[in-house]
Amino acid sequence: MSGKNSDHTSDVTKNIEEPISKELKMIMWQMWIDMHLARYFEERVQWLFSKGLVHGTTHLGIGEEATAAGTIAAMKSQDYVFGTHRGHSQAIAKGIDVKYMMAEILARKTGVCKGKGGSMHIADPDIHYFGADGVLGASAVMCVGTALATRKRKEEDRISVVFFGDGTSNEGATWEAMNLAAVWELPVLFVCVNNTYGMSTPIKDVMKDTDIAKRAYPFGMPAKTVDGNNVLEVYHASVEAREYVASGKGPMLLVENTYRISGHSKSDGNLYRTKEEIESWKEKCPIKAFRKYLVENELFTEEELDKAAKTAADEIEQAEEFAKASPEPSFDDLMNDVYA
Amino acid sequence: MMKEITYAQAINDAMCEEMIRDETVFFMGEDIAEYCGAFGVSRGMLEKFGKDRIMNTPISEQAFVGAGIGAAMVGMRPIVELMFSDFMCVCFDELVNEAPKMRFMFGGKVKVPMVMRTPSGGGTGAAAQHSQSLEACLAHFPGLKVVIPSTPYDAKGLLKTAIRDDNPVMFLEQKTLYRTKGMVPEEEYTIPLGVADVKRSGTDCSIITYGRMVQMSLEAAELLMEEGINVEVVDIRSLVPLDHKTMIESVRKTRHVLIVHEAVQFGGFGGEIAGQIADSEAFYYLDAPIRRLGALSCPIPFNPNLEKAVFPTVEKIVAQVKSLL
Amino acid sequence: MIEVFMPKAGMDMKEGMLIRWLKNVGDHVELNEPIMEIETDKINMEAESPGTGILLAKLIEDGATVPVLQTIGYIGAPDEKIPQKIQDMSEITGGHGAIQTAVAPMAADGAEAGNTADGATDGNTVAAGAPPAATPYAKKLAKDAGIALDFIPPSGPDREIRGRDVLAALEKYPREATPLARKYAEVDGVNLDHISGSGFGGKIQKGDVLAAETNTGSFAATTSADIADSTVPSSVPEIQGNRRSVENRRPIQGMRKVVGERMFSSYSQIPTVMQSMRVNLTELLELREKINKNREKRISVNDFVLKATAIAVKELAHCRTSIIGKEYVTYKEANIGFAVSVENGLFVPVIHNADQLSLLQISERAAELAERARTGAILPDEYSGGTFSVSNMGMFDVYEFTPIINQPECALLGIGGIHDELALKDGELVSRKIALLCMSYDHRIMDGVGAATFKIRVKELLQNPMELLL
Repeated sequence: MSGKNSDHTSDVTKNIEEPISKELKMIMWQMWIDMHLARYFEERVQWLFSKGLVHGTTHLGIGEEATAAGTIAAMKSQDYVFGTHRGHSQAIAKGIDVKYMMAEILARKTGVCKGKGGSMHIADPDIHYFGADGVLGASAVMCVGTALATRKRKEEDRISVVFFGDGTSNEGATWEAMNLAAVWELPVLFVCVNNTYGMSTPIKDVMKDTDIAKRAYPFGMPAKTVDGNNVLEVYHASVEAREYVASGKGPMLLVENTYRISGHSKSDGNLYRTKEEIESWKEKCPIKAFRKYLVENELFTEEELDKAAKTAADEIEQAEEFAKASPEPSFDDLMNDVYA
Repeated sequence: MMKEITYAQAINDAMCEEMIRDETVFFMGEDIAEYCGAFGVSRGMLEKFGKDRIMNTPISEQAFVGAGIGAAMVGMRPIVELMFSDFMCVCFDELVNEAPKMRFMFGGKVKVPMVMRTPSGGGTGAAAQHSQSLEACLAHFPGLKVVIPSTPYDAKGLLKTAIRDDNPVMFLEQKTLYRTKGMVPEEEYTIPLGVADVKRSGTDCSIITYGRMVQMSLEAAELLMEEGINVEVVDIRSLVPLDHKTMIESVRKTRHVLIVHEAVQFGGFGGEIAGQIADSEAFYYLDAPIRRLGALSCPIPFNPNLEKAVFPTVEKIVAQVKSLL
Repeated sequence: MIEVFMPKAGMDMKEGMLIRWLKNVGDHVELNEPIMEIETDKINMEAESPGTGILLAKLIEDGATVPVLQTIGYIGAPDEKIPQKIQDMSEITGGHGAIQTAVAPMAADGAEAGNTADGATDGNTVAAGAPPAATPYAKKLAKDAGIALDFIPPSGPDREIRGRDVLAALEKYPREATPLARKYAEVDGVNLDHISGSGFGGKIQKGDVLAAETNTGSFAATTSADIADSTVPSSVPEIQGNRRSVENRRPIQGMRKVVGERMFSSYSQIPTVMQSMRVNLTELLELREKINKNREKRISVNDFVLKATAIAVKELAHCRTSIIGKEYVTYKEANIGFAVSVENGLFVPVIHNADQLSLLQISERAAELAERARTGAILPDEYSGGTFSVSNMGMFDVYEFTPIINQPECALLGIGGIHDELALKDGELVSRKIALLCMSYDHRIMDGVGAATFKIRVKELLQNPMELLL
C-alpha cells in the first residue's frame, strides 16, 4: 500500500460543491448503477468460474469500481477509451451491455467479440471502447494513435483515455507513450488505476518512489492523484482532467489509488497479503462510502438505492440467462476476422 | 510510357501518390522528415506534404508503431517506417500481439490499415544488428501480410496496394536494392498482393525466391543457360498471402526446385515453401530433393569477405542448381 | 563355389517362386538331389542341386519370387567364402528379411554376384528386397508406364533413380538385356533391337533371344478369368457397414499371372479392330453329319474352322506377319493355334503346318493337344511357334465377342455360336444355320480390307465345305 494512498481519506464530502445540480445528481445515479452492475457482474463471473462455466481466465477488479465509474462518467460518449485486462467495470461504464459481455465471457456467438476475445479482450469499437488488452503497455501507445488521428481530423472535443495499472506504469511502452503524447501535445488522458499490487507484487517492491504521479513530470505533463475509492473525487478530478486535455495543452496523468479486493486472477490464492489487509479495504468499499454520502446528503433514499441495486442484480441475472441460452460460435465464422 | 527510376524512388512515388489520393494517409518514423530517412527514401516528401503528414518521431518504436495501430483503428492509413528491420524486435508486441490481432479479438469490429515499411537484409557492412532478414517471423503471425519487392516496378505497385489494404502490411524493402534502377510506368498502376511473378521462364529447375535474391537468381540463371540449363525464376513477391498455385505449377513443370532467400536458412521461410511443395501434387513430379539455400546460422559478420560467405551468392546458386540436376 | 539359381522350366517362364527350401544352410547336398520346391507359371516342381557340397547361403526366403536364372544361393566347400556382394540383390522382388549364410560376415574379396551384377549397386546401402530409392517423379513415370523400378540403373547423386533414368529405360525398352542374353544374341547373331524382353522392366533375357530365334509365341486367350484359389488370410481388418469388405486376398501368380500380363500387354499395345462377318454353315453341318455318321471320333465344327483358317493363312501373307522390334516379319508356315481353357488359365496349343494336314489329321491332332493341355502334359514345343490363332466360343452359346490378339500374331479369329435363321432362297422361305466370324486384328499390320479379304476366304471355304475335304 502506497504512502501516498494514505494521504487520502474516503470522505466523500470533500471538494463537493453545493448546491448539487440536477445534472450531477443524474450522473451520481448513473455511477451508482454502473458500480453495482460492475460489482454484481464480477461476483457473478466469480461464481460461474467456480462452477467451471468460464473457460480460460478472468481478471476481477472488485473494490475498484469507483475508478472506472467516476472517470468514464466525466468523459463524453465520443471519447476513445482503452481499458485494461481488469476492465469489466470500464466496459460497463463506457456502455457495453452486460448481456453481450456475459455472453463473451461464456464464449458465446452473441458475445461482444463473437466469442473470439473473452474476458481479456472485451471491446466494442462501435461505442469507441477499445477494450482490454492482454499485453501491458500496448494500450497506451495505441491510445496515442487514436489521439493522433483525432488531432489530424481536427476533432476538437474528443479525447483518448487509457486506463492502466500501477504495474503497467513500469512498462517502457507506457513511458514512450507519455513522451510521444506530450511532445506532440496530443489529447490523451492517462489514467493509472493504482490498486497497490501488480499481480502479487506490492508496488513498493518494484518502485523506489511509489508516487506514480511524479512519472508524468519528466515528460512535461501535469498529474493528479485522487482517492480511487471515492467515486465523486474521481469524477470531479476526471472532469477537470478532461477539460485540460481537450483544451489542446497536451496529455495529463490521473492516478487513482484503490485496492483490489478480489485476487489477481481466478488462480490467485492471496498468499501475498493478509486477510486483515483485505478486510480493512472491504471497510473502505467505494460502494459503501458512496451510499453513505448519497443517503446522508438526502440525494437518494435507502429504498431508491436498494431498488436500483436490485435492478442491477436482475440485469446481471438476465445477462447470465441470455448468455447461457446463446449458441457457441460456429467454425464457419472462425477465419472471418483474421483479415479484413 | 515508362520511365527509369530507382527502387527508393519507386517507394517514394508510391507513398506520394497515395498521400495525394487519400488524405488519411500519413507517414511517420525516425528521421524521415528533413533527413529523409536512413536511406533517403522520403526525399522531398516533407516539402510536399508538410510536418503534419511527414512526422519525425522520437526514438520510440513501441510508441510510434503503437500510435500507427491506434490511428489505423480509427480510420487513418498510417505508414510507419522502422529505420532498420532489426528494430522490429523493439516493438514486437505492437507488430505481433496488437496489429494482427485487434480485428480478430474484437470480433471483426476494427480494421488496422497500417503499413510498416522497413529496410531489410544485409550486404551493406552493417553487421549483426542491422543486416537481418526477419520476414519469416512476421509471416508466422496470422493477421499480418508480408511483402518483399525485388524491383522498382514491383516496389511501387505493391506498396500502393499495401497502403490501400485494410490489414497491417509489413513491407520489407531491400537495402542493397534502393539504388537499383528499373522501368516503371508513368501511369497509375497497382500490383495485387499474393501474386507471384515468374521473372524468368525455364524448363529445367525452378528457383523460388524473393527480395534481392531474385536478381542474383536471374544472374545465376544466365550463367546456367550458358551450360544449357534453363532455369525458371519465380519471385513470390509476398510471403503472406502466398501464391501457392504459381509455385506448384512451376515445380510441376521443371521437377526440380531450389528455394533461395537471404534470411538464415534454418527456420527460414524456405521451409514453408518447401513444405507447401512437398504437401502438394507437385510432390509427385519432384525429380530431386527440395533444396533450400539461405544464410548460414550465424550473426551477420562485419568483415566483407565473411559477410559474403554467410549469404547466398550467384556462385552458390549455380552450384546448388547443378547439384539438383 | 556353385551358384544355386532359379531354374527356367519353360520357354515363357520369366520368374519363379521358391515355395520352400528342402535343405538348410550347412547341409550337404549332392548334385541333382532335390534342393528346393518351386512354382513356375504352370506347375509346382522340385528343382535339383546344381552341384555337390555344403549349402553355404540362401539369398532368398521361402515364398520369394525371383526372375529365372537369378542366383538364390551358394554351394561350396565348408570354409569357402561367399561373394561379398550378395547383398546386391536388386533383382529380388520378394523374399524380405535377412540373408541366411553359413559363414561369418563375408570377407572383402570383391567378387561379383554372378549374373545378377548387371546394373548392380555397390551393395552397402541396398538391403535385399528393399525397394530401390527413386524420386517421386521417377516413381510416377514408372507407375504410369507400368514398369518396375527394380532394374533401372540410378543416376542420382545418392544412387536414387531419377525421372531421366526411367525415361531412358523406356526409350531403350527392348534393348535392356541380361549379360547372358547378350552373349546368346552375339553368338547367334540376333539383333536385340528386334526382341521384346520378358524380364522385369522389359529386360531381355536369354529365353527371349532363344524364343526370337525360333519365332515362338504361345499364349493367347479370350475367356474369362479363373482366379487362382490359393488364399492367404487378409491382414486388413474387415470393415463393416456399407463399405465393401474383403473376402480374401490372393497373390497374382503362376499361369494366371502370365495370362494376365499377356492380355494386358496385347490390349494396351496393339491398336486392335474387331470385325465380324456372318457365315452360313448349313451345308457344312449337313456334310459333318454325314461324315460323322459312322465315326467314333467325331469331326467338330472347330476342326473345319481350323482347316479353313490354315488354308486362308497360307494363302494370305499378311495373316502370317508379326511386328518384331521395328520390322514386319512374315513367317512361312500356317501354324494355327487354338485356345483351350484349362484350370486357372488358358493354353493355346499349336498345330504346325496345319494347311498341309487333312481335316481328319487336324481333328485328331487338335483333340490330342487339347487333352494334353488339360492334363498338363503338353510340351513347350506344342504351344509355341504359332502364326495365327483361333478361339471358338460357340459351345458356350456366345454369339459375338472381341478376342484379344495373341502377341506377336497379327490377328485372332473368334467363332460365335451357331443359330437358326429364316431366309428367302429363290423366293422360298428356308431355315439356315448362321455363325459369326469375329476377328480382332492388329491395325498396324493390316487394314479393314485385308482383314475382310481373309474372312471372305474363310467364309468361302466354310460355305463350300467340300473344298476342305480335298
